[in-house]
Amino acid sequence: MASVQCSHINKDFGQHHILKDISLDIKSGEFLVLVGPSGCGKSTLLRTIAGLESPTQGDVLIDGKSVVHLQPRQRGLSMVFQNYALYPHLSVHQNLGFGLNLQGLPQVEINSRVKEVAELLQIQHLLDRRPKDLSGGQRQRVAVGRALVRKTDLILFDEPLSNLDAALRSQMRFEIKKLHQITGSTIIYVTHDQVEATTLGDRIAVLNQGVLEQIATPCQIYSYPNNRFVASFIGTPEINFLPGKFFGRPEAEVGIRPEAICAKEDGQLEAVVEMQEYLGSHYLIHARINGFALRFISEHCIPEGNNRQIKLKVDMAKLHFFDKATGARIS
Amino acid sequence: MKKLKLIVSLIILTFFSLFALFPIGYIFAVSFKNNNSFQLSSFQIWTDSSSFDNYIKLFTETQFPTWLINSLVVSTSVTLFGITLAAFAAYALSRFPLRGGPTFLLVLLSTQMLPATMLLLPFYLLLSKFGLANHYLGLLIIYSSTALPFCIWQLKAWFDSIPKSLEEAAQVDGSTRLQAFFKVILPISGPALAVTSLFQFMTAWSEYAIAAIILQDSELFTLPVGLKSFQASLATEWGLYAAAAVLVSIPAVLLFTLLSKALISGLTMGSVKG
Amino acid sequence: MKTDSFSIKLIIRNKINSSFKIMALVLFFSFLYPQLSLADAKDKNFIHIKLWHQLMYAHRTVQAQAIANFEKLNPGIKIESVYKETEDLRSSYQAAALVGGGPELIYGPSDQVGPLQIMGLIAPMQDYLDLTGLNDFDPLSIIKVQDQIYMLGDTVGNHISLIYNKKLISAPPQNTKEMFEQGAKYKNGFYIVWPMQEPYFFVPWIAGFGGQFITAMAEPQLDQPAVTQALALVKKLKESSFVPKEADYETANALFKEGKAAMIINGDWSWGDYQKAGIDFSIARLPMISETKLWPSPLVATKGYSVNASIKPEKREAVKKLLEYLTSAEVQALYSKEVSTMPARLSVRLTPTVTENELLQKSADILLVGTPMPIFPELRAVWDSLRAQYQSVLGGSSDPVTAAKMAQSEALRQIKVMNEIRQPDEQAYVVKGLILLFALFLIYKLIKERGIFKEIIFGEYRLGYAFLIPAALVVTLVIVFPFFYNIFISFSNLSLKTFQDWSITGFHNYFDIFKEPQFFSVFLKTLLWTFLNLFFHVSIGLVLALVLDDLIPFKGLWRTLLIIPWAVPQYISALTWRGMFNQEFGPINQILTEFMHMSPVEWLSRPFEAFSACLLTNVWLGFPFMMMVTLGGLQGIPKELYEAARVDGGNALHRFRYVTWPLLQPVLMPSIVLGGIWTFNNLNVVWLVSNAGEPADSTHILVSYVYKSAFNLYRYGFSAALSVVIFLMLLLATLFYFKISKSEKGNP
Repeated sequence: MASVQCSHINKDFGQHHILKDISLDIKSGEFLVLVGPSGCGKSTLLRTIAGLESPTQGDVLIDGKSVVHLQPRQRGLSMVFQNYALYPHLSVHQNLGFGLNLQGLPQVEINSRVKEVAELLQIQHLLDRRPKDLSGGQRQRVAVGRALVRKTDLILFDEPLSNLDAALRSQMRFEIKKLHQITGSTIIYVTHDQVEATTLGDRIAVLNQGVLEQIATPCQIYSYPNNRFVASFIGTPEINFLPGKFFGRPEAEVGIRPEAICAKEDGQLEAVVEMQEYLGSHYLIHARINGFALRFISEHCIPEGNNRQIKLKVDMAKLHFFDKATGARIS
Repeated sequence: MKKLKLIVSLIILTFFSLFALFPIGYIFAVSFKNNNSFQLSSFQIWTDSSSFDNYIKLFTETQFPTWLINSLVVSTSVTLFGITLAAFAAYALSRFPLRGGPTFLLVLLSTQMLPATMLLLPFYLLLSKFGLANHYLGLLIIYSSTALPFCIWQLKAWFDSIPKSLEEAAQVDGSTRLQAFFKVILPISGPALAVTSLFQFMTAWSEYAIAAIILQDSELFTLPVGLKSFQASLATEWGLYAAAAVLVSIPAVLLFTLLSKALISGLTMGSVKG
Repeated sequence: MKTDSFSIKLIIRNKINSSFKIMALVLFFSFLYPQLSLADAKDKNFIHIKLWHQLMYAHRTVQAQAIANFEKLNPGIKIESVYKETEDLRSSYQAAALVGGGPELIYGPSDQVGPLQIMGLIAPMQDYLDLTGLNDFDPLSIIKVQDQIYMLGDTVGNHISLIYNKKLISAPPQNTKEMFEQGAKYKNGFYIVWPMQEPYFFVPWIAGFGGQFITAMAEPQLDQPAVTQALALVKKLKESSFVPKEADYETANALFKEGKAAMIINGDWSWGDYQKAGIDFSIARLPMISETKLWPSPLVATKGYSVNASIKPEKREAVKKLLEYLTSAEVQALYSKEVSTMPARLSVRLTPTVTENELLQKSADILLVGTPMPIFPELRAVWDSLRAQYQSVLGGSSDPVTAAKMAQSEALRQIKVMNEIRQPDEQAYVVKGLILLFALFLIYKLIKERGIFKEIIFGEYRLGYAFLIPAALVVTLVIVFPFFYNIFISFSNLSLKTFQDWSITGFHNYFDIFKEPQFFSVFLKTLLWTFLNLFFHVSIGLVLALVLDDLIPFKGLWRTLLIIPWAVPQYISALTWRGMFNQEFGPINQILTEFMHMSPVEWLSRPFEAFSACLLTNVWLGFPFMMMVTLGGLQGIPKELYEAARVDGGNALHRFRYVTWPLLQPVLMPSIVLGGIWTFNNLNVVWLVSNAGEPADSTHILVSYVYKSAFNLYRYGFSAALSVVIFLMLLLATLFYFKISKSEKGNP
């Protein structure tokens, strides 16, 4: 299985500096998720690893060997594209076998591998169809199948689930995780959905505007975000921010996750309830402290809550302090 | 109300269809006359004195069959040559940020603005100096380039509409860029290539002015030049001319009707994009 | 596995595409090969002589006979005889001979000697002729320039005369008074017709009034009473009831052949045709002018052989033999017998073939009052200016006095322009300096961007460059290079006289353009032409598209029918429409008279009508394009918008104004701009429908004017400059359009 290193990757498109000095180390067999908002450069980074883009500066190493001057086909990886990129003129079987054909494998071997992968993804009955005759979900499976059939050590996923509806998405998430367990390949997975990130990744790399903000396990990122951005990006509902002065640290900004707040009589903070959203298993309550918005979750709603003054208790152990100016974590 | 609208529409359509077809009917009628005249005494296309004589004469007594073959050879080779050039160039312009790419496209666009004479005269003078006269090679090169701008524009619009991820998938799957072009992009470009080819073919088929300058031996004439030789300022063989005109026009019309829809979508696609 | 027809097509396409390159190369080389061997070395065992000529049909048969005979007598020589129409003959010979190619022999009327000799394309013939034998030839048939023989004729004549149908009238009029009297009494159709477009059929009358339209020193004399009176006579004749309102050569010929006209003024070249058509005819002199008692004097010319200036030495002997044979007494007698041409050899004139030929005897009588045709190239300028004014007078837009004056001044102007060899002056240095600067700039750019070569060969995108370069190369070679060459020429004095050695003179050609009297009127006419065409194209296209976008039965059928005008090759359409506009026989006038009970329109001989004819033709050609573009645009408008408009309470007009039109514009505008450019530049339609600007150069648009200047008047430098001006105009217009549309896009 392949390990991947990116060393000081910089990428410019004309005047735009898309990737800013990104270095990361991906372990062999790891499932790494690259996550971040639109335009943060995650797809660009992925494509740079794939060889579809050349970095302006920096190196990409696979298994310790520099591949930055190699063509995609020479890097021994496979990729699943966001829009699936299935070959329209070929059947599903031929789509799956395309890469193997190029390698010059005997047809018998190709057929057996294709069959194997098709069974794994439950698309055996679709082998003779054309892409245009498939549903979105089916196409997605074929795209994944095409990557699997080549049995590469490194598989890249570029937002593969973003074109699917919610139900399908969660199902596919599960299946992709299972595939990782079965194949053991190193997977680099790009998504803008932080739920996908935290559920799928062994580690998550958070990018923002071309900068690698933090790379750590989901748990670490959730509990110990490096900076304000990571804190707000990971975690749903989104983290609350209050000025540090409420907690005696005027130079800082404080991040409090919604689950760390509850309405209690002995709470330190005074707030006014604005709105309560019923979410089935709990309520999401919107409140305001001195003009600052706040959200917290509660099992029960606040009776006659609207515009009612309540007291909120905060779990002090779960506060995150960030420097007001830089956004970096302060202890 | 709807019925009235339908009737009015049909009247308009009929009127303009008659307008469109009138000269066609006329030339058919003249082609069936065998007394070398272009006057019609009545509005019938086929009268008692009509016959296919002119058509027969065309094939037996004139060099028409030679010209027909010449035109086919020239048009076909021009098409193959031109489309090859155009397809490669259009793909390059679509996929690669080449230096001078946008300039090239602008040059192509501005060639539309050149008055015919602007090139005709230099051709005439240059050919005289370089002896490319009377040779299909000169014709081949010139014809290929007259339709190039349009073909490149069409094909580029087509290639632009193919997501790049398709070639990227092929590249990741193990192909070189060249292989991706031949194994993935070209196979799905059938319709676009067909349309552009037919357009290129028709342009070469119908071209007169340049061929008239280059070709001198009557054995080398293409159809348009041959047709013109039926005409003389003092003695035109109208019957033969009309019969030949009909025969020359038929493939053009057929191809055109097949392509009309596709051509237009290519034009509008290209124009919307810029 | 479902194998539908589409997948079969895909498979086929795959196969074709994947062997694309190979096929292209194979075909390319396969026909290239025979071409390489076609050029001149056909059958190495024979000597091949090429002869180009402009003989009429009946004459061609005789020639074929003579040639066959020659080949029999000379088994080692093969002759290839090619017919070319007179104008074509001249221009293609020029193109071929300039590079040392072309036929060994060229046969045509004597006036082609002028230009060809000046350009050095034909050789003095002393070495090819038996000089003593020349005594047998009518002096008129030996054409000399500066005392060297450049053409030897085999027939003398080419003269026009009265040709009358003996079945319709027993005797031709002896004088003009009789002509008008008999004409008025003639009830069986037209009394007399003649080709009303060509001044060749007009100038004989001038001598009848005691004048000479051009002197022996090539000076035109058009502004004299004789010319004015001749014009008045012809005008009076045309306006008579027994003469058709309009008649070009075709029509006049047809009328006479069909017995609808009793007499025609035509030349000896037509006799063979009339004989074949079975008309019982005879000839006579043009009637004497009653007022002056003088005979009109037709131009008499010889048609003969000239020799290519660059004949390969091994062919010289064969050419000499062929020449001798074709001008021999035997062959000349053959022509006289078959098609009644007057032989150049005086000895043949004494033989029974000629003496017993009634037609030829009458012809000799006519020749007695003839004038030798001048051969100097200035004649061209005279024809050109006279043609315009002649057509104006007949068309009713000018009177004889004004026409004569204008013809003279225009002729003088054109002669001056044709003859002046402008010498380079200070401006030439400026131009040369600019060119040098430009070249330096290019070199500078090349050096500055020399990294591009590295990029092309080694760079990341080298595949892309490899793909692009062939097309770029072709475009540069075929478009960019001639484009700059054209600009280069526009600064020169390239013309007839300076063909072999021309030089850069400066900006003069550009000044000439704006000094040219017709420039602004032609320019305005071009604008009018473009605007009117676009207006009709777009409106008709729009109406039809709106109709077709709805629920109509047989939509596909209608669309197919309506597209046909676009599909037919342009030159065929143009020539067909020209035929349809014929005043006497064209179906257009037939419709007007029979179904709409209007009087027939003289489509092609009056300026306004001729312009309308061109316009109608071009509208016919152009509306399908606009219709299809509009249709495509309409189909791109989402139906929901119409529904929303309906819900909002709009009627059809509202929907059009607020939904259809705004959404149609982005699609339509580029096509309109493109269509406008094509219309502005459309040479074919105007040239072919109006037959090169007739009447009287009034239907010219800028492009056709350029074409005429270049290929008819030899003003190459001038035309090149005008082409550049046209291009700049269009470029500016397009840039202007882009600027406007960009700023509009900013303000939705």
